[in-house]
Amino acid sequence: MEFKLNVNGKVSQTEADSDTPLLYVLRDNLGLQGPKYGCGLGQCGACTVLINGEAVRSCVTPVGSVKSSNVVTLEGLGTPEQPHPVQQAFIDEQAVQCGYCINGMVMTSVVLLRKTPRPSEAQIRQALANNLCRCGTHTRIVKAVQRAAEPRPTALSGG
Amino acid sequence: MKRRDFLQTGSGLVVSFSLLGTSSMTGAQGTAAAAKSMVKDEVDAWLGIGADGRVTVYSGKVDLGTGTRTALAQLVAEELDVDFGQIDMVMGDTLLTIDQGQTAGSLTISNGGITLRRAAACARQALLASAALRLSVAATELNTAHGEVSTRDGARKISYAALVEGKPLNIKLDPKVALKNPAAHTVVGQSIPRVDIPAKVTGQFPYIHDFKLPGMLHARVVRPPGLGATLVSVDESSVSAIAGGVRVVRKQDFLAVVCQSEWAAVKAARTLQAQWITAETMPEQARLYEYWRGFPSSRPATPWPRWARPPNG
Repeated sequence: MEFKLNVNGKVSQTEADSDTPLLYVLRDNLGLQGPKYGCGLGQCGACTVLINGEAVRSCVTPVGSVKSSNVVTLEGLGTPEQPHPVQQAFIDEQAVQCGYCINGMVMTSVVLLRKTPRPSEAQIRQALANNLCRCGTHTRIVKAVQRAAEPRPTALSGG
Repeated sequence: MKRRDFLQTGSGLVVSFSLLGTSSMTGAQGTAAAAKSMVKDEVDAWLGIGADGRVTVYSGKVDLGTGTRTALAQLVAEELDVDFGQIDMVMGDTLLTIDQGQTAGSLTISNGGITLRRAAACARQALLASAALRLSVAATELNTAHGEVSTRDGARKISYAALVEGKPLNIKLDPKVALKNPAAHTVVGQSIPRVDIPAKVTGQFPYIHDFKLPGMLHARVVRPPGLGATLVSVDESSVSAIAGGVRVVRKQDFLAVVCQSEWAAVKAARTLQAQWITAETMPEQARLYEYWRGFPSSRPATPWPRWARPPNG
């Protein structure tokens, strides 16, 4: 089947079976490598993308269900030159070891901070409880989210 | 992706070349590799100074997320007296780097690092000697800093790039070369941000899973129901409804599917009907300790320490 997907602000046309997990379409057909294959069961969070602003596990989301939804991957947030504030906070806190889980950590944190701009540490831990990191970078990740939640000059001046 | 772009993204993926081996993508590097020393007691095997002054460092170790790409560059910057940002790391590239064994056991810095420090120290000494000739000044009257050799008073200086002119250094690696006194370190000991992190948090860092080759197919192994199982028969018609050019691969008791798309391979591996005879290879759970104690390794010459003794053992 042919699909027109709205990914990172542009429409991409691609061919796939409708039961294909969105993750495979993003990675194999659209060449995006932010979302990662971890468990394939929606349990680890490495494949997380935003669909209409919500953090969704793309490894268990059939492409046929996505339709015209707005999909954003890690690449859609920012670049090494112009990172998203959450990405910048992860860089500032050096909150990465191997980095395989970091896609899910960043994407989930972006949604958390949109809904809860000033989360407590407990809320951050709760929000990321189902994102697994095997390197053990958790404490730095929590600090990165806290840093991203701090008021920034641009945020203040932008009102 | 061009080879150089790949390197500059900060990837330490080991298998890039064995995977790309025969593709046209290796053409330029093949030439470069032929020119580069692969003799481990030559400094050129470990580092090169380009005509632009950038230093390329070759390490047989890989950075799996422990920050060694950054740390090894710091070591070289320190011993060679070049700025940290002037260093490009090539790691684990089997065509360009010396085989330094596995990357494990916290040995990358302690073992892999010392070799690079020595190579850099040898290079620095050679550059001092070369500058002494060019400037007609005793080497002891010269300083090195920021990729330049200068006279003590700073009046005359010459860059490493100008001294090397893009050529190999052609010097032996002296394992007894004097290294900097740690008290004089200015780069080592600094918490320099890891070079790989910006690409990792923005989805630009290539992992092994991200490699795509022209005409690449996707395979999945079909696992037997138990260890040592024998494959009796395979019903290939069970996957004929799956689109994507399923091919069943069987070699004795090994079974796999190969497809055009990854998802077709996943589905085919799940769907494929195969008959197996399982072998009774696993020990009985209730008698596990007894089974283990039957192994020669569990009969050491000295008695087991108390903490290592199995329950009731």
